[in-house]
Amino acid sequence: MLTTNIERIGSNTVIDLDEKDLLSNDLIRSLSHELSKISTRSAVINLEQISALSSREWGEVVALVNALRLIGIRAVLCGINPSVAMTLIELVDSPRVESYLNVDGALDALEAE
Amino acid sequence: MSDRKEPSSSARTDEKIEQQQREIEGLQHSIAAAKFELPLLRISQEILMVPLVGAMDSMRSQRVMQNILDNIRSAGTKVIVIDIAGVNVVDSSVASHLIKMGLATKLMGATTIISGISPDMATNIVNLGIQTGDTETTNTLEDALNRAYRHVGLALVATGNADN
Repeated sequence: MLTTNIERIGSNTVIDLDEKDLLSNDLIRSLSHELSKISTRSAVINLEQISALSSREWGEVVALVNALRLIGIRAVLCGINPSVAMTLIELVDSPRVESYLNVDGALDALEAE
Repeated sequence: MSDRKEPSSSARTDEKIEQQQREIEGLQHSIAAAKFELPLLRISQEILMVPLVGAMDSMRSQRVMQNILDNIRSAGTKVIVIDIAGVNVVDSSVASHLIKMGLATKLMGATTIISGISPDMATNIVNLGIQTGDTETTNTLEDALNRAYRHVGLALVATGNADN
């Protein structure tokens, strides 16, 4: 069972992912069910607590973003730290995801639209 | 018996001092070069400019990238203008490093604009089949800075009140 912290802020939801969450086989299904229940407009996936990401784990994050998009939730990332960013550009050709410096930046961008 | 004379104690001391001075000068040059190769110029609170001069290799690219990413995190920089007009050669390796810098900054929520791309460089990049993806590029630094200002909701406006 996932212990991910999910916080509703206005019409948006912030999901704080940690390294333990990324090991779960049920991450995408659980979170997409959870978020569809609370009918959120958009989701900010906060990766601030993650200090290292493998290509498999990054694949899970991107799959989560895509799954949420499929159920009509705009999902963006935030909180990627410099060392993770430097690893990711070696692992993937083009990380086609929307990403912000921190939760505040992501929420401001979502609210501005 | 040899004709060669042993150097005197004071000659040996002078030699040592000269050697130390040479070492100090060498270190000073290295420090100056290190500062020169990683200049980060703050244009405004949210815009950072990085003029690159000379040769770009993998090690230097990594250091530049690390500095830029740390700056995004610590100072909340939103736009980075990397000017490559002074880079000696822009081959596929340099282009790849620059594109990676753009991707890494994007992951941290910032935008990178690469300026100083000459028509010859552009031709090379296209002929080499290098995909620049979403990275914004410009010919002139002026154009890059105007774009950077627009990204953060600012604009340079002529006031008509020039000093001269």
